[in-house]
Amino acid sequence: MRALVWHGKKDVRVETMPDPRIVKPRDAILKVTSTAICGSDLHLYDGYIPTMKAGDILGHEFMGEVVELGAEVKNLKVGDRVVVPFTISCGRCFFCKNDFWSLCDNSNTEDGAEIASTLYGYTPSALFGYSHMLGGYAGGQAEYVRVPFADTGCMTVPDGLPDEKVLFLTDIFPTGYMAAENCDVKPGDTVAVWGCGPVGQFAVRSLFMLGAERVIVIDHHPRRLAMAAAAGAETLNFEETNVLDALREMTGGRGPDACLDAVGMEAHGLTPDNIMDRAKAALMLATDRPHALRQMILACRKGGTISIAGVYGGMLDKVPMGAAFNKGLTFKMGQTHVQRYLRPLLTRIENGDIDPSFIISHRLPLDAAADGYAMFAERQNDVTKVVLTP
Amino acid sequence: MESPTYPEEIDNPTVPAGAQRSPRQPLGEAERILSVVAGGLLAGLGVRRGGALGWAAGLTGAVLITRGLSGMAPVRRALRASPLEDQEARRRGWKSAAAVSWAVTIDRPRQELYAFWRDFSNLPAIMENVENVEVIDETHSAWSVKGPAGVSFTWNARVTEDIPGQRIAWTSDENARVRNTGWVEFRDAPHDRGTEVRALILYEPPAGQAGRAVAKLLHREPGVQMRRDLRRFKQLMEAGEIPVNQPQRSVNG
Repeated sequence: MRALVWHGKKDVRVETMPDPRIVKPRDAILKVTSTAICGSDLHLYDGYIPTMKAGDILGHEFMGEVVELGAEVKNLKVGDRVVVPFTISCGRCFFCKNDFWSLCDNSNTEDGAEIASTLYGYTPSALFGYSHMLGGYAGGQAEYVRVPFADTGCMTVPDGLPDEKVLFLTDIFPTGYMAAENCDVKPGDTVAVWGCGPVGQFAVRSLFMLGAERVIVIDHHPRRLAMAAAAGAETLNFEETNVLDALREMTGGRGPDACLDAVGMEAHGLTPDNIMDRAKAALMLATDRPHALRQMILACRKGGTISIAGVYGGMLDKVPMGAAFNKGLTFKMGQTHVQRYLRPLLTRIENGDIDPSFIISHRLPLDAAADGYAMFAERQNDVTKVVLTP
Repeated sequence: MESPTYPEEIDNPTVPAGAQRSPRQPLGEAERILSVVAGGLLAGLGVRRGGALGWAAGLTGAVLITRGLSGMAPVRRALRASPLEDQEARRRGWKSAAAVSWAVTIDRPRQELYAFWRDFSNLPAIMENVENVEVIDETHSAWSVKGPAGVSFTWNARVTEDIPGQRIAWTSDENARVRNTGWVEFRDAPHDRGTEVRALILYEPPAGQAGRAVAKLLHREPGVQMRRDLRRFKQLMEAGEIPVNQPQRSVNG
């Protein structure tokens, strides 16, 4: 089959790879009908994520048709059209049972779990196509994909909804929604969102769904800011505006009630702290660049909440913990518990509350996936979501 | 007169045996000064030389300076056994002893987990280093295990304690290549969380404490293996399978 394969920094290629097959009784094999490139795939593309091996198939946002089932999968049948969460969850451990699906104890493979628990204390769940530390499972930017624990992993979707409307249930819609939920929105709240990529866009729309009074977004790509404005957000371009001052005044001197980080570890911007972060990253003294996070901590209202969606992997340096402590901030974060949100958000799509396909800027055949990555990395103003069709 | 017999199992310490550390190793005055001076020289040479060797010398020098200034010898401490290990080695007449322990919580009933473990022929499914287990009778079994550098170790073991649903303890024969003893315990976890499974192995490392450190790096050390085996046990019992990422290679493959 054809698949998008990682070979190194800024080197991904569509190649012919062996077809996946059923290995364990709870597996399913899907024929992929649509798949997308995620902002966190760019961390892989840029070489930021350790434990990648040349030959790994990428892709964690995918959906398709069940073509083969393991003997233990009772809740699916061949021919079902399903969306698959990017988190792999066993469904039977303490965390899965308590709705913390991205914290599954059992889905990470033993070698990956060793590394992850050394680095983090305990291993989170495995992810599709996202390094060997997180399972080393082949991803879905391919013609076929093996889905472990398919009875927990797959949700059937109605035929009436085209792929483009439901594909983003796999990752970015629940991610934005969970980050918005983590803001603990109360009546009258103003929430500031850093990052107008796809997760930020869904976070903005989710925040209004959850009752936020005002949403202010911060980014530097004009078209992305315009896309957020179309949903009702007020926009700040950090190249033109002093963000902290603007937020203070726009909120009547109080500061935003919650701040949402939809940027993560590869923050942009030519501020001194970000330049220092890049230098440190080059010298391997720090791994992540938390420029947005630092701003959020300073900007947030006292007693407010910091909601972190944007991926971090390693160590941060010089984070203003004193500010966070003395203002009594609450931090909520984590990889999305996708399974928790699949049905509620599908219902919203079916009701017409939201049409997630707004986020798509480009559609390409799978064979052009490498161009898709390059384009997404280089032209972020024009490119929001690239959907690939095998 | 020393007593000719000793208990066949170790007392349960309050602190898990595998988590105990050897005491701090403070350096004497003379050694501290020596360390700082040697470190300074090495660091200076390293800076002047540059290149990979220069970096190595510089870093080693920095470590030596820190060692001398702090007065502590962390490397030496890491290579020493804990007081418990020293005590157990003395009791048994072993050259040295290594204690490794670990615990996992598994959301299955205690009896079910005990029953799986008690039938030792089940264990190769979760223990990747165990090549074969032959159950001879109710208390005796023959084990064949892969050690470091691919060498196989075999021994006979006998069950010394068997409390159904709670505890299984064993010890190897006196003439085993790597003498070992241990136990696995099953305890109800708080509230509804299932069962806490705790295990301990005390073994005589073939190449002493230094060899043990090397074996850890090679992933063949019993403590490393125990962690992995207990993780597999949990995966099999809870999720019904031990997940693999085929067809992609694993990190070590």
